[in-house]
Amino acid sequence: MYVNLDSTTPIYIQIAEWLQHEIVADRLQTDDKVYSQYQLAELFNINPATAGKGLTILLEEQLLYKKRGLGMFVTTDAKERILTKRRNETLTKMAQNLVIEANRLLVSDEELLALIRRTQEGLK
Amino acid sequence: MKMIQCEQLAKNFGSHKALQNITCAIESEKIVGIIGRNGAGKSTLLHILAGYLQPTRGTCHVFGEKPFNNIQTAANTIMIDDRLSFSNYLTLEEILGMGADFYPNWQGELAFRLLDYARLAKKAKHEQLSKGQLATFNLIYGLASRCALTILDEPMNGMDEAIRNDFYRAILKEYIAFPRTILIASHHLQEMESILEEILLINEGVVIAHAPIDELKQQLISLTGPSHALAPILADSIIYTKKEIAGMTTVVVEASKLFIQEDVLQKKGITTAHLSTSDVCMYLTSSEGSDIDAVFD
Repeated sequence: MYVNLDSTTPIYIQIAEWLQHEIVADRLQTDDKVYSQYQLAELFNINPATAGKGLTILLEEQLLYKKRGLGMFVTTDAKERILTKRRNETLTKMAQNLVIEANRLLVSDEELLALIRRTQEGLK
Repeated sequence: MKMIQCEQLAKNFGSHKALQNITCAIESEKIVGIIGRNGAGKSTLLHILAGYLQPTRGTCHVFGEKPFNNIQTAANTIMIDDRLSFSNYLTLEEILGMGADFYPNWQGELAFRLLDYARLAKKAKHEQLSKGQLATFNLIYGLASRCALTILDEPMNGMDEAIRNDFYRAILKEYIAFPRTILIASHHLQEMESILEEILLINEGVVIAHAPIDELKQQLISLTGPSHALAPILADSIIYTKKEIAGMTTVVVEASKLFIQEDVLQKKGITTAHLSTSDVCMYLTSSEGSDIDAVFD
């Protein structure tokens, strides 16, 4: 399997994101063993040290835990934590972009809020 | 102990200063890209590390010893480039058959499987090979030798794209199977960067950067915004390149010198973008004010 590693985001971050995606999609579940850095290196054709850095990110965020000599495993609330984080970060970023674009188009605050409300109604 | 340690290494060829001041340390069992423009001194450095050349000044230690005329270095090092020569009386099969006589870790079976895969004829003579086939054969030889220090100087020159991709993967798989220090000098950074751990960037015989690849990639950043908004931010920065189109300016600067949050920049109408590793290397090694357009003015 190859992912399309883009050229501007550091590869270890792309690996960390891919692993989180696998957890969200339930392909890696609580207490499942995660790929080793060497398996990831083979899968994505990357340096094992880079793959190791990707795993370390998840370890530091306590989405994975280590068992000595056995490897790394998914923690109990990993999926929930990833989802919460994404809601906070992704949604905030999108809201920011929305406001910037609205300012650029000279849309007033009231008009923007009204637009959001109308959109919500439309999707109900 | 470091696998490679160079202190203020310099090499002159007559009045030409190929290496001016190389100080670097490379740990064992890493894949390191040796990157630089043409004539930067990459090959000279590699030749000194392999023990082919003696430095003019400074010191160089490989495996803790001076590599020049050193039997220990010779036994544990292989240097692959397009000047590698084998006897013209021998077939490829015979050359590979004798690998075990020189290299204790020789992987004969792997060498023949790779030879087959690359569709090289066992009975062919080394001198009959095309440029790309020669590079392929030499690289197979280099991988099969499993030397603790494997030096590849432009190993993919002349190879077609498909076989290049196959052999980057072959290098990676061989490295995982048998970790060793692999130095790869190449101009094809973009296609090989994923298998590298570190980059040693050289320009005009001097080390410009030596860092893990992701760190190097984030060293420079590109900013685009209205010229008047950019000017105050850039007062203290070295500007690597600057392009102006219709009041909007794009600059490349050092990321660490920017003490401004991204959302503050955004409010000023400035957008940031990351660069590819090969672009970062290009900007770090281009001379000040160098611009091809200026030649035509």
